[in-house]
Amino acid sequence: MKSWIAVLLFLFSTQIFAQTEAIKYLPVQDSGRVKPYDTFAQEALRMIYGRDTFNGKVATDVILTWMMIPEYWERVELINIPHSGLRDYLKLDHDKKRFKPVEIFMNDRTPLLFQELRGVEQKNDKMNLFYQEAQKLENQLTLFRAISTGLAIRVLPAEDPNGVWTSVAELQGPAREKFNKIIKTFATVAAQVTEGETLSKAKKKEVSEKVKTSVEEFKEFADYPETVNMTKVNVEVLYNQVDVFMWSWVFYLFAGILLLIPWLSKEPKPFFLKAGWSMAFLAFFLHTLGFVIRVYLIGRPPVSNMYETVLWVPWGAVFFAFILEYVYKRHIILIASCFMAVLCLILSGLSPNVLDPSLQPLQPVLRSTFWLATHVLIITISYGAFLLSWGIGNFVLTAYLLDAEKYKKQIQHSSVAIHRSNQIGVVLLAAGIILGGIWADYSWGRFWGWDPKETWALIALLGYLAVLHAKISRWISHFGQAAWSVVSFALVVMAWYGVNYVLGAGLHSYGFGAGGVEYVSGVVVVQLLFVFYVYLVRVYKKPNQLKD
Amino acid sequence: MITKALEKLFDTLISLKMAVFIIVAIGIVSAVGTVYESKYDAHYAQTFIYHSIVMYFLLGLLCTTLICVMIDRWPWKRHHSAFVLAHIGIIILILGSVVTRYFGIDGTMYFPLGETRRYVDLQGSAIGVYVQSPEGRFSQYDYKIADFLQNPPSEEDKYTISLDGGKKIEFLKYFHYSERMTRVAESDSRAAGPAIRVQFESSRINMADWVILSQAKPWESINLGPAKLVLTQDIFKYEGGNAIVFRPIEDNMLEYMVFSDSKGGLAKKGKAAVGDVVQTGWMDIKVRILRFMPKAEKIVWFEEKQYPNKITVPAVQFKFDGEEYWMQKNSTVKLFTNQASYVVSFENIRYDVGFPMKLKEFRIGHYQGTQNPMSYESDVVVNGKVYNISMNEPFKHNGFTFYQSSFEKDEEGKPVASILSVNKDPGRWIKYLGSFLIVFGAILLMYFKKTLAKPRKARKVAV
Repeated sequence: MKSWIAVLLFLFSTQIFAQTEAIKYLPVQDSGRVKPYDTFAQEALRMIYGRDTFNGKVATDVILTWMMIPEYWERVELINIPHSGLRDYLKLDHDKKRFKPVEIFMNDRTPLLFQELRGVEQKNDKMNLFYQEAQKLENQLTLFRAISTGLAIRVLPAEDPNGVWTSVAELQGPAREKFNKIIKTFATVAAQVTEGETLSKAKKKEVSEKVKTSVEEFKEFADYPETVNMTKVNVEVLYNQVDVFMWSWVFYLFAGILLLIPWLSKEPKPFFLKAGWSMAFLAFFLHTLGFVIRVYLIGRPPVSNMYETVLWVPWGAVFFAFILEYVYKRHIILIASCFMAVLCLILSGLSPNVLDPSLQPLQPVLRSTFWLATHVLIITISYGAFLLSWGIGNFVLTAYLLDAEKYKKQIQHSSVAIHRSNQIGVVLLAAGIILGGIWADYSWGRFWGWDPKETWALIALLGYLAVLHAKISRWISHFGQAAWSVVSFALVVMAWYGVNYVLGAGLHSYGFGAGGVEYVSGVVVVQLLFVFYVYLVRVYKKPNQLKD
Repeated sequence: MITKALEKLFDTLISLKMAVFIIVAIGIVSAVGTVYESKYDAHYAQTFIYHSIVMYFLLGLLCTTLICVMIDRWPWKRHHSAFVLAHIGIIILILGSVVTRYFGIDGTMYFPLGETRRYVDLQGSAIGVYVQSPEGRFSQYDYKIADFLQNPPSEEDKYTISLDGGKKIEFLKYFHYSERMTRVAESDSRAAGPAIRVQFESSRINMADWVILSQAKPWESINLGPAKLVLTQDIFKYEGGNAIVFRPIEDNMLEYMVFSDSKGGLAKKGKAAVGDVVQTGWMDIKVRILRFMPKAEKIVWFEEKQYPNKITVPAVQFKFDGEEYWMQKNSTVKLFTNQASYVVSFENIRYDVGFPMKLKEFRIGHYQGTQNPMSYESDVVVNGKVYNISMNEPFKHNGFTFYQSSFEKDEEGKPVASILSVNKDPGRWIKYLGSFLIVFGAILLMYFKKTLAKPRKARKVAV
């Protein structure tokens, strides 16, 4: 009993708790794959609480105490309900976002909500945001229950490699004893931390050794089948801890700024150039490393959901930028690509609820690595080329806004880069669409079915084809080319994001999601207004320039 | 004069502005199509947008300009190769699509486990009329493809099928999206029996439903949450569980018997009228009689909806012998004349693949420890041989290709039927050739840096 009180007290202590590190590496079976307990805990906390940590406590410790003292956690403001409509429906405090599980469980309107949800689910394919959020709430509650009872944490492998693992709640005999030992050590550690507050280094080491031994003993007992790759489990914990993509954007940002300085000044600045290049390389290396790890962990191309493509598209942009920069030596290309990468990588980390970073097994229809690799990788990397031309286009528009005469040279250089990026994008997108057609023909029996995803990819292609043809015919100038490339990127956004999150129709339903529509449309509108504004400024200024 | 006009037309067609106009127009029409698909469904969007006259006109115009531009550049030089290849590729791709559209088959086949089928369901609807011979066998009397989506029948413009002896089936209405509605009403028909509407109430549940008993059956029951509700004319045999039995005794009075699982038999008995509440004694559940009709029948009709949802179906209404009938897609209605009896069906267009096929087995693979599907597989038997069809691995036979598309499960989640999509596409290789030329041409375009292909006139000025 005393140890439970210690656990409780531990929750209020603020000391960083590195001594329970070993627990993170315990393999658990969840959502169709074996993952470290670390990943499971983070995903669970993120789903229920909406954050990666609770009051500075790491998810692995928090989830463990959930299981130990559920009565306590039922009275903690834990359930994240971001949708205000849903809060109002449940007659909850309108201005709060997180609520105690008991508040929801005992709420009169909760059963009504779920009853209504069943009706809507039966009738509609597409549900509005309210019901999607209601569905999410139901999942949050189910998961909370499953964790408190110990049913969600499956730790002991089954004999059949495809079978269901035994959960903590169902453990029996020696397995139960071994697992209880982990829990007990954890509780003692918690007690020591809360009582002593500051532990000596040696003591800390001793404590963490104890935890480690108990975990190791359980692992040894569990006798994992060969399909469980311990190296993968360990690498995944490492991947969870080091946010490679964050470091990558930090370096991209440095690279972009360093390269911008010589581009804006008249005389060459070799130091900044070299430093910028090295930074960009470093960032690109980390960016690539992140993908390599993801591919290693899940064993498939990293382009199966929105989160992964938001990482992959800027990778493409930077990749093409290196090539074009090498050929044309126009630094604007690399500068633009660095800033685009910063933008996308920051975006990818902003909202795990909209852009889900978890590693999920594939839907049956996507289980063809060859086609997924060729068709999806090529289409999304073509978006990378368009992202690059969008970035450069915006630089050009800004240059026009500031002083078209002063930046004449830069504008001319950019024009070639935009044209080439558009060309690369068009070739890859056309190839990707056609490969998609061949895959569809091969696995569904039709080459082209006017599915919204493929149709919007085609519309984006047509948009850029129009820009290319208009440029070739000299119908549009450098300005027009930049402006229309920027506008055409809205089509890519529609094909990439809009079909899945706005239209939500068609056969590509495995990529559908919800959220962020207002922000994305906001950005698109602001972008279009910016183009129009620069256009107006130009029209207005022209007579004056002619007089000069 | 005419030659001048033609020349002008030609110049317009080959101008790049024209190209940009066509590209943008196709883009806009396609975008509208995707919105249609999102609001309605794929078939609707295809019928009214992608295969509309406007789209056909734009594609035709595109081919015309592409041909004109290539004529204009004649004789072609080496640096024209990219542009010529890509443009010829587009024309061939469009040609291939036309071949697929008019000579291809694209449909689905529905296989209940262990059954044999040979017909493919295609998009679009048909009306079939079958006549029963004196021995009881049915033979096809009439079969018509009825394009009701584009040409719906109406009171003014009926769609008529004549039967022997001067009787007619007149189709009056077609709803592409409609919900099946039912209502219980007093009836004086001979088959009509009693009906009651009851409400189950407790702190946790609140639901109401009708029970209608036809004269042909001894009793009728429905499941309301934790209990069974039975309506009977005479006897009822208790077989365990919680049940409440009602039996009409007068025009306004019912006798009830409450059986409870915990007591293992009859727990309570009494009389109740409309509005009365029976305390069941199972937890705190109360049963309230909301309506009672001594003679009632269920009336079915369809209500048109603007947009589809999971439960909407296409439905037609027709008139025969002064009476009106409703029929939803893939259902039948039996009709009688003085001479014979007929079955009318409203169904998908069917196509005979020419050989029977049997579904032997259907399997679902799961990701470890979950109910999330990893793979779907059907084993089919053709000519005594077993073939496997799975996602991404179709089966080819006699020019047809069979793909694993989806499946149907029962209430317990067990698969009961496999759905295959079936396809025959003579335009396939034409489209592949076109695609190859487009991609090859586009890649070449990067190679020839200076293909900024100006129209002939512009070049002359430059010289």
